[in-house]
Amino acid sequence: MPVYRSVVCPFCGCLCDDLEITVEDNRIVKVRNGCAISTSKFLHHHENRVENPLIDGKPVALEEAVKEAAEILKSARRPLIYGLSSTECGAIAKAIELAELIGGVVDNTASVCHGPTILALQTLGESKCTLGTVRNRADLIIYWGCNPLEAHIRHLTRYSAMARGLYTSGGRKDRYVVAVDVRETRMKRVADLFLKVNPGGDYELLSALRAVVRGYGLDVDEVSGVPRDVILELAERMKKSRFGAIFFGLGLTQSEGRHMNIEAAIGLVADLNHHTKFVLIPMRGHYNVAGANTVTTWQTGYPYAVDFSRGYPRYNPGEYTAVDLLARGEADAALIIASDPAAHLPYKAARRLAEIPTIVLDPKRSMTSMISRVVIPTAAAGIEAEGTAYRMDGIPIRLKKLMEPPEGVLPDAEVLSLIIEEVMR
Amino acid sequence: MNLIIKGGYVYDPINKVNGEKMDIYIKDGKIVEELPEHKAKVIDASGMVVMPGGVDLHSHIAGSKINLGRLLRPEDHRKDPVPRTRVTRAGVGYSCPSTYIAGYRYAQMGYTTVMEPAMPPLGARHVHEELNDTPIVDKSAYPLFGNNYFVLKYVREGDLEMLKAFIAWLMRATRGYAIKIVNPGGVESWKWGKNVDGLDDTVEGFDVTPRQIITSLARANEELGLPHTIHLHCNNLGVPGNYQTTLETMRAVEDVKPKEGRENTLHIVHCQFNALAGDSWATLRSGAPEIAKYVNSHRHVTLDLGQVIFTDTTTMTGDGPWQFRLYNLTGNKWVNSDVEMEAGAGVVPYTFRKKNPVNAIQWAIGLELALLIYDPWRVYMTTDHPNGGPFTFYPKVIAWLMSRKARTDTMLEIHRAAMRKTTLADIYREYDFYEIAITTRAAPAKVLGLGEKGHLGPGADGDVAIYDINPTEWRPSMYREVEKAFSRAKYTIKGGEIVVVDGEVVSTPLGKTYWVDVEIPEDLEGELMKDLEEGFRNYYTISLSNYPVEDAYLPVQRRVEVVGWR
Amino acid sequence: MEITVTLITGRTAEQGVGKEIGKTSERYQRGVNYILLNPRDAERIGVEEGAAVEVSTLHGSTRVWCKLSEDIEAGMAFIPLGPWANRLFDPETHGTGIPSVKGVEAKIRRAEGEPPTLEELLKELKG
Repeated sequence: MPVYRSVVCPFCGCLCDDLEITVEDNRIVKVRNGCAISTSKFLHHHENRVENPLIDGKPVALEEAVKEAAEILKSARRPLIYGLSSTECGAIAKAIELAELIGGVVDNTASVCHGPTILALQTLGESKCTLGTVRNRADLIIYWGCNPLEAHIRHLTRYSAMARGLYTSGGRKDRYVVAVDVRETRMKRVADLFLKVNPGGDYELLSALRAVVRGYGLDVDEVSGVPRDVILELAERMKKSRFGAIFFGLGLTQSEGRHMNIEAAIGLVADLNHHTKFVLIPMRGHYNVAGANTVTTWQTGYPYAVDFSRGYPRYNPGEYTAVDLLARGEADAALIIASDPAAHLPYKAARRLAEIPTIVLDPKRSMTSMISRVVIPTAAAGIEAEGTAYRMDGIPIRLKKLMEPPEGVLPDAEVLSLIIEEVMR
Repeated sequence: MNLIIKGGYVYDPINKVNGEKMDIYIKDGKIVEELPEHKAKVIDASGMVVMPGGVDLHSHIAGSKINLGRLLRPEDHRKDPVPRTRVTRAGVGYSCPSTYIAGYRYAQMGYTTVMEPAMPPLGARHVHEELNDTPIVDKSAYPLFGNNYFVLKYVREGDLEMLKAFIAWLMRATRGYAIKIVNPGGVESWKWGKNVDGLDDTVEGFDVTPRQIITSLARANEELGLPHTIHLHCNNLGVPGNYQTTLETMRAVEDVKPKEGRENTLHIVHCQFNALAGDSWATLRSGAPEIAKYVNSHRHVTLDLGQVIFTDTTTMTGDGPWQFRLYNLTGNKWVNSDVEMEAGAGVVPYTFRKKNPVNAIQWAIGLELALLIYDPWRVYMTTDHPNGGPFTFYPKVIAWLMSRKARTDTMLEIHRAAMRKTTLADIYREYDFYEIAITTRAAPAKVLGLGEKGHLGPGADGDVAIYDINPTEWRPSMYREVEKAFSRAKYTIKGGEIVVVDGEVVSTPLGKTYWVDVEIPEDLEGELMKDLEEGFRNYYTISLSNYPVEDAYLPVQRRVEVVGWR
Repeated sequence: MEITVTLITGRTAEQGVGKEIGKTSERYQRGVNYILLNPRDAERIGVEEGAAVEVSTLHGSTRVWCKLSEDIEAGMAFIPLGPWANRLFDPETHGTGIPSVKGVEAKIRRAEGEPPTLEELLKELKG
């Protein structure tokens, strides 16, 4: 009964790599060290699978599905390729190649999570570090608009608040922990200081902190629901820390202000570097969304929302992003890889996916697979297929193959290669 | 395919061929003595220059740093979109080219080997993934050692054997080629927002000095007998007066015994940035003459230029504190990225301006170094792509080296500080084609220890560049012609395959990745693994077993075996 | 009776667990077809734990089950992202590519009838 050690978890951007997985008769029977979600992922990976390639809901041979997919993509005027954050980098590279070949648009789910983070980075830059640097050094950690207890469950113990490291042998007691959110999440119990900010008030609060760090006073009693004294004290604490880190999530990127919120945070952190060492790290959600940005960037120069309709890559979030292309009714065919936009994009965009010929590559059934013209089952990366994934901080890790995929099921990259061949034929 | 390159003027300095009319024969990807004509494709190179394929020993083309640059600069890409062709992929160019475009453009200039000079070990897979998407050229990457926790630990403990074992292990784990050191100690201190100010400053948190780090790594490198020397980005980069730090650094390794068969023990990278005299930006002048004087009288140093180009570019180094300084100088956007236990990096866009006195002096310093150091075997043409400027400007640098008129014409356009604060205007030396062949291919190949590169003798790789310029009719006043010829090779041949014709890419084979494999004595390895296991468990965030790069990341590899312990 | 709240969306661990079993699984559906309300707000519109409520914004409406918790303050409501919630949001991204799905004003009242099933949502989506 093989036990695989140091297995990498392909769920969230933490990419914890210390799991122990026991496999019996090509079935995972035991998961050690995983969080609740990770354990669910490994134990249930064989459930609710797409069992056959499908065209209009009817089982067909893989070759037929590939042919139909190629036909759809070839004859489309404005094909969209989207998803990619829950597969390995080889598949991402193939998706870009295909987009280039058909003169389509390739976008990844960063466009609806940390796209604004990237827009802000392109305006100002950013000061960041790998998670181990936080583990080893940070004596002040701020979680802003993110809730690792729900979304990055082992982040606190492996990488941040509770972790022990080189200069933080005391773990949690060597650090001061702050959480900022619009509602009192369970993070309130983890933090030394919890700040409840008014919805949509992050930009003001970040700017107020920045003003104080720069030496200005505050002539108001509160900013965005946070009392002046608390702001003054936190600014002082930031300046006096030895190594400070801000982790932030979709609470900043998906609320009013979007990239402006992140710019305010980047500015604050840049200023703090005149006093001490300070970094800002986005909590990337899907396990390889960072990889999707990374590969797209080295191949095209741009991280997402890339249009090849003129033969060379063009980049314009808001124009070539999936939500916009779909909601405008512009995309006339779609290839969705390892993602479920029909369940998550705003209804009008999801609706468009049902109207146009859509192709899905996914191990499991999803809302999107159930409205698609062509469905091709693929191997689950990190369980049935290997490849690279990039952690939220940009560290590349090799996903392991623990078992064979179901008979006749190929990894995403191989299916994409078949489609490319068929398109070129 | 077999090839005969007929009738060209051949420049092959390693084999002492200086512009002779010769035929070059390639069989199965290698240069051979001779081939019967009916069994080969014949390329007519008459009236043209024939050289070995170019070798760039320092160009940031792959990995997290350049990719941060790409991510940071959509405005840079928009200047230079590159469409797909029948044989080539689409992408972008200018200062942060996408991987495919970097490979094509090197080949278009007749370059066939390019080294990525700064690989954070934790990001090694990223570097190799990008190198695999960089077509045509052969390549390798240098892992960063100068601020690595285990290096600092063994240096502090004075344990050279463990240091050597660690070097061998990390080289294999990252599939790396040479020891890169960036601002030794300074990058570690930067993790607390600090820096070191010279060779004898103490590294924050470790009881060691940059001097100890440099000399220990140089000693370990030579004792192991690695193919290249240590590859050092000095302390105090970009600081007025830093030429003294550079000289001190060179002196510090004077008594390091070189590996058998060579005289050099130290390569100083992009020396221009470390050859500044004066005590402030206002009093800045060139320190190149002092550095050249030292190099001319000491055999153990080699250096590359880091030549400045007047253009908008993107600076990126493993030197976090320097990039922060540059951010404060310019107010441009700034990326900082610290890597646990090992390294760091920064990225800041920068425009070198003709009318800026500092930039004008920097431009002159690079050329002074190339012209004042007599021995072209020890000074190599680079722009430290993209720090001094994009590599696509190499033909311009070649023109400046070969033509005093080219330099004068530029000097007349730029700030007069170039004339007043440097000696460039007084230098009459002009490189000839033979010297260009040395500084752009033969010498870098030699200093890298790449026996099959940089020459056209039998057994060498079939990497050849043919430039459409007649050296017997050329004169330095015609420098624009040389620039044009070197911009678009008439032919580039890589491993015996024609990859460029008339400056256009016609074929895109995947080149090989070099890495150095040193076997570690068993007992030493056992001791090292104990240390590593403890260090990884306590301080890293990935498991030791998930750290080494797998073979899957090197689809075409060339393992260079080194016997480190006898 | 109807109240106006500020709607927050997000992911939860339970949703993650359910998603990994499968989008068609019972557990996933239970994990995303609810809204979290403060008991005082629930009282104002006369609903109890487990009742169906109608949530509407300027851009659409949906029906979900009601869950009560003191963790959410009065005047706010939390709904996990998913096929029930996505009907509430504006696809306009104002040139950023990302729709606003946090801090959206919504009206809540007792629903006539139960929330749609996943099959019903699918049917509607297909048109």
